Amino acid sequence: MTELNKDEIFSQVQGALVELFELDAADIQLETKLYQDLDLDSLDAVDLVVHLQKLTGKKIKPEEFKMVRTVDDVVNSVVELLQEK
Amino acid sequence: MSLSEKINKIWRIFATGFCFVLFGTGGLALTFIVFPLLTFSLENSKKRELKVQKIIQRSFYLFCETMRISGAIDYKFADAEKLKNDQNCLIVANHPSLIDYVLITSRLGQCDCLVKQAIWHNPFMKGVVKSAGYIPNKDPENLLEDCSKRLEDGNVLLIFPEGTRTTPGKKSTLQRGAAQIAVKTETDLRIVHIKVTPSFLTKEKKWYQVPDSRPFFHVEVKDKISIQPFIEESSSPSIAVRKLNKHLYDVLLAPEQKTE
Repeated sequence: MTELNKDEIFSQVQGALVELFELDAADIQLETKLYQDLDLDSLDAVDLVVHLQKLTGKKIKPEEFKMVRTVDDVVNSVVELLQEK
Repeated sequence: MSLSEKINKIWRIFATGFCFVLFGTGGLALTFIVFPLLTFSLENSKKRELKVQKIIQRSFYLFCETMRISGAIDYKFADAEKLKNDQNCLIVANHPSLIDYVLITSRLGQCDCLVKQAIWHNPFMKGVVKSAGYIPNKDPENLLEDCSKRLEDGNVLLIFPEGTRTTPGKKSTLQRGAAQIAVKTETDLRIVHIKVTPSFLTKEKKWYQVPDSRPFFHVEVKDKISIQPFIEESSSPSIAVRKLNKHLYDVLLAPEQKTE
């Protein structure tokens, strides 16, 4: 997986967060924490998972997503998901 | 403080202690005597849960009257009759004291409740919350489904969006769970506002730290909030949730923050 792809996925995730939660794109960086910095809650995370599933066409396991803390974690798990066959 | 005020204060400590013991033994008696009897007589679990909820209402009504008559507290409802016809509806309330749930439930013939994890481990309460079929606040994935099933059956669901009791003097926030459930199940919300003066049974004080004068619990049943405008005016459900939560804050907590 090349850097370019990771960048693309980051902007997809960023776009999803802006669209779903009306956040400011500038506030969303790789190191941003979902729960503290962006004030998301566990039910928001479920919304995000559903949205990412639609985007990638892959099924995300809820237990995998429970470990996610930062935007970078989200991007990485999407990267992994896309690598899986 | 005059002598009679001092005597009254000591009496209230005693009465409050008595009520705590009564609550604990009541919980155990229901768990080990009354509810097991229901298990034999009512096979259908849904009917049994409704029966349990009815028994809880009756017991709480008696309990509230005991607290009032013993002089531990005084309380008054405003517009309690509004609750009578509520169906398929969320009831959201602020949470200043330990007995908010007891007070509100004493007026609700049927009421499901969203219960935080700690209570499922409390020996005096776990049997009761389980028998009543209350909803554990645990997995976010199952939570919405559980709530939506109950609401579809026409049930009323009581939630304290603060998640736990208010800490006096500290700025409270509302967790978005209640708003999430309302938006995603498209359910209207009944607002209940509780005001306790002087404050009593708060989070950071012990039960025996009673105030100098008798605490008065004023429970005001307010109008319903219709959920549709919030959904229609928002571009996504998550945004509707945020708007609704802000509105809930204004009606539930903002008056409190101004007076203190």
